[in-house]
Amino acid sequence: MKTHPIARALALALVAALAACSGPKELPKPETPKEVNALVAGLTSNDPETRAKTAATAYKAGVPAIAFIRSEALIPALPDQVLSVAHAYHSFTLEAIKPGNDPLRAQVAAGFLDVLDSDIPPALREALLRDLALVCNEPGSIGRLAKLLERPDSTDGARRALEAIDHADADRALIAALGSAIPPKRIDYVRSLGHKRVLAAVQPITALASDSNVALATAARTALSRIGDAQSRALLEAAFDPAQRSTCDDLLEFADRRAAQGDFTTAEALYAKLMSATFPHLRAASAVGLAKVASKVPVPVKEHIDSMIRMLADPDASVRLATEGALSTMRDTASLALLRTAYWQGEATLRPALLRLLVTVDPNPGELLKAGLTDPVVEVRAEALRIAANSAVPIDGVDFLDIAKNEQGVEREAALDACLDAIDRKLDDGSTKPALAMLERFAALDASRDQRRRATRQIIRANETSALEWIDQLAHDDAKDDVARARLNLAAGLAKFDQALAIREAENVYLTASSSSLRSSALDRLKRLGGDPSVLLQRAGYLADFSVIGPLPRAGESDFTEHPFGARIDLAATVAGKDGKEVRWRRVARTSFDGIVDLEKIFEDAGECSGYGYCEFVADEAGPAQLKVGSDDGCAIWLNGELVHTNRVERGMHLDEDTVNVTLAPGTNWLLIKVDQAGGGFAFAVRMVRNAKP
Amino acid sequence: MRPSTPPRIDRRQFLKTLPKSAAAIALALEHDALARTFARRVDANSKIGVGLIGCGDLGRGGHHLGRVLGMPALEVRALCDVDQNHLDDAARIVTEVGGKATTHVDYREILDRPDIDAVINVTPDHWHALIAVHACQAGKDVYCEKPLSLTVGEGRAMADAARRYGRVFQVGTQQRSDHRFHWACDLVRNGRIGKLRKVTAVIGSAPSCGFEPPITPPKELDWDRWLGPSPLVAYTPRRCHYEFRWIYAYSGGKMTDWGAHHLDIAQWGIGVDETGGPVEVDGSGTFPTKGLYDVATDFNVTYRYENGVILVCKSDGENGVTFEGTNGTVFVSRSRIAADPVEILDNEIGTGSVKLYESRDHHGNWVDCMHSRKRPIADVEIGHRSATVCHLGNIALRLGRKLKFDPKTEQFVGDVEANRMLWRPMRAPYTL
Repeated sequence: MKTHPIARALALALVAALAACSGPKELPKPETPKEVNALVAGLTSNDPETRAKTAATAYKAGVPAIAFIRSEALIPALPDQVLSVAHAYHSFTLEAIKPGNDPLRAQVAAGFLDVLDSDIPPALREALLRDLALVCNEPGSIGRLAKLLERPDSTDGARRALEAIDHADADRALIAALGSAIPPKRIDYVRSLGHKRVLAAVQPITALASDSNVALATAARTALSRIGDAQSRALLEAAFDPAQRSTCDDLLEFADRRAAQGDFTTAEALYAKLMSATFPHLRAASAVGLAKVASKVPVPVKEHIDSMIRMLADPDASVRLATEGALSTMRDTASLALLRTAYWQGEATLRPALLRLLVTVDPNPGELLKAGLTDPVVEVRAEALRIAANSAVPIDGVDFLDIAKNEQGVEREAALDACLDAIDRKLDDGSTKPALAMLERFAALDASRDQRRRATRQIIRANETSALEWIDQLAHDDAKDDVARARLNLAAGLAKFDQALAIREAENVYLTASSSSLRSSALDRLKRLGGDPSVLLQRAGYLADFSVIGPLPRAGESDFTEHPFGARIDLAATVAGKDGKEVRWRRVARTSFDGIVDLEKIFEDAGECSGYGYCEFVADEAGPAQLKVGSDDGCAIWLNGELVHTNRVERGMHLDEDTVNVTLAPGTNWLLIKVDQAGGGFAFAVRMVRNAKP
Repeated sequence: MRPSTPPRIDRRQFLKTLPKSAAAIALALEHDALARTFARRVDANSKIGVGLIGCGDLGRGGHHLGRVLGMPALEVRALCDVDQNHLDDAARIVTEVGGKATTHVDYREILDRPDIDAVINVTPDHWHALIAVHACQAGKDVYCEKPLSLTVGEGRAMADAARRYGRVFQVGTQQRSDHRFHWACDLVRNGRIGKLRKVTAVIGSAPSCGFEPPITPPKELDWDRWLGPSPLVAYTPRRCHYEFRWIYAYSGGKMTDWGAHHLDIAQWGIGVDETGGPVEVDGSGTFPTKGLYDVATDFNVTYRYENGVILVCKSDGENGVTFEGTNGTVFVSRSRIAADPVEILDNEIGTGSVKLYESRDHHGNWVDCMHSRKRPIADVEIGHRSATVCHLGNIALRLGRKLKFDPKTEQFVGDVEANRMLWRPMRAPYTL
């Protein structure tokens, strides 16, 4: 037998790899037919490991698969061999089902079936039956597989394999088994045939639908509903009980199948019947079904439409929703006339829903909506507003901002949504100026946070710097960062006319932002605008002129608030470091743009330790101030020699995480910060805010 | 305040091409708009009765139970697990916060209860479809952990059941409710990186393990019920809790474990998450040749979409998703988002013409939708399409050949064997 070159190369590589793993006991390398035959010997080795490894690789060397599969040596004696052999068998399977490998496929199927005829461990049996579901594809092997249904240890696995095989012989085998099996097993065959939707099984299954065994009869009806043959209708309708879920499910499934087969009239009748179901979700399902077929039947039945209109007031929301969906697809003249009559003359509770429906079909929906906006029924007016807010079609002559001013609650919210929709449409059309004019008016109104956020995004889209004059009206207390983000985006446009102003805008955003991500964006923008971040650091009050020393031994809980430098810090002095080595103070060249002193970079690979930062700064006058501190990990702070803050915690670096109220001395003050390193990042940042309220 | 923003943009973009007529309004008033109207009529004050099915690490402490116990709109009324230890622990947690929940080993007892409105399905993958479909049939809303399905066929059954019975069905692909992933997809869908060419999802390698001798199951575990619809085999610990994901009978390895997340984001960025999927898949991988685990350990799968976009899913590299376009690149992971050129990140979420569904709280979004009857951010159809991408990859890896797939029929084209791998018959007496 000729070996495929690729298969041979793979086999050689695999065998070599396995041989390397197995130490001195090397497997034969199949270079010649003789050596290939040696692989066969591997299968009969007394060493179980060799048997399994050989099985996993040998087939790729081109030895007839059948020889391996039938080899008794493959059938493992030890439990730990079962999985390896199952892997090997599966490898055979995958090779056999490659296109053009039909001869091998037949061999593998026959081999597997031979093995299954013998006494093998259950796990291996299960694996082989699973593989047969992929390998079997011709009457001979399918027939032999069907015989395994009679073996108690293979019945269920063989049934599953036959269920998976899309071949008429597999279907016939299952039908035959249905006739001969004991009642409990019949249920399984009925289910398999139902799942496969085997039309030829309708007759035998129908005979079981009235069986005295309730479980079997129920399974039979379910299978018939799945198969969906027209002659099962009467049986399923007769069994239908609106208060019994399984019979409703069966009828629903059957209706779906009929619809899928193009029998819309039957499906429509059955869906309508299901509208009487006790269970809301089944009523909803019937409406969904009707929606699918309504547009496909020649003339919908009037009573069905009337029933559906009544279902618009169903106590269950999902039913109402599904019903609306169904009705909205009905476009024939008779149906529309019924809907119009119900809207203008029907119950007030139904009118909002009917308005929603009619605007989808009315030739002049704008006028219908305009009329709805002034309808005497408040629910209809509110609905008209909501529709306007959710439809993409403008309603000429309606000023939603005016409406919003005069409405309250959800109606006002809907009007504002409609306004924002209109702005979106203008932006889509490139009408930026009118959109901005609307946004300016919108900004003066008291909208929800989500609506104001949406407006800030529209302002970014419009990209007109004139918005900077009034955009702050949208901020309130809950959307300051959103507005700041918009200002930041507009700063880029501003730079075309006035770069200094744009830079100042970015600086202001940085200084007022409450989130670190926005601050980071502002710094980034500032750099790209050509600004000087160091100015920002100064304006933000960052203490930037630090000297640092470390790494020192990591402090414990008891000595966390102590430092080894005495009452006055001598920057020329040295102290004992973490490993007993002397360490000395060094000046930090510069902090990052965030004012962060990155100790991890300065004290490389320091491990768990402590580090200190020291700086001096001048206060023009004595008085209160706040220190805003971030550190990774915890920290302790001394101001002019007095311990003013301690926070022993494991955390990442976040700006302004701690706030410390302090009193500054006039003239030069000095600050010492001790930072704990428990692993990961190692950094700190301190800024001072004067005139801050404690 | 609305906690989440409904999707508006796709319809708006679409409507721009239509005459401003009734037909346009009809399209605009799709499910979402109708649902929003109902939102205000459902009694938002009544508690939603929840049953937690699957109380193991993920269901109990790690994620769901703690989360839902803290939500005023929900009340955990029933717990179900086939491991008595898990069940006891979960019951204790509920009691500690002043709650009261019944305990069950058979989930069907929960589905039969009228005071249960919704279930959270945190079982192993091979149990997802049965529980989810039965829950929909019983009229319950569903939150189902990822990956949604064990096979493509099961996913389709779940999606169909949710639609047929009008259920709100959220899939636990919570990256959709994460700002970074939303932002990345917003950038891509709005053309900020130009025309999308390639997406790369890196999801890590799967482990392998040696032989583990079968032993008697612990007395607190109902092993037969744990196996459920999967083949009957002897118990070993690594076959069961958590580790099941490395065994093909119950799950799909990394391809489904992490693929369910990152391939979901890829589909969102490509814009085919609700209706489409790849038309071609090819790949290679390494499979264990011995031991219990049998899913690919290392792999590289390439998908092609109808619009020419290439999606690569591989095990090696930095975990995350990279979108490559004609004008730039966006990378996103659970810890960072980056772009090249960096200016791409100047474009805020929601400032482009395409606006994606927005949620910042995955469980919260589910609850909102149960009240409003809107579709949630990770709707079952989306979860099914994303899981399908994972399954296609696994099938291609197993068969070792290039496969053509039709996302409309959800069948492989001209490949009988591959099609046989789209569904696995269930062990009796289980059936869908």
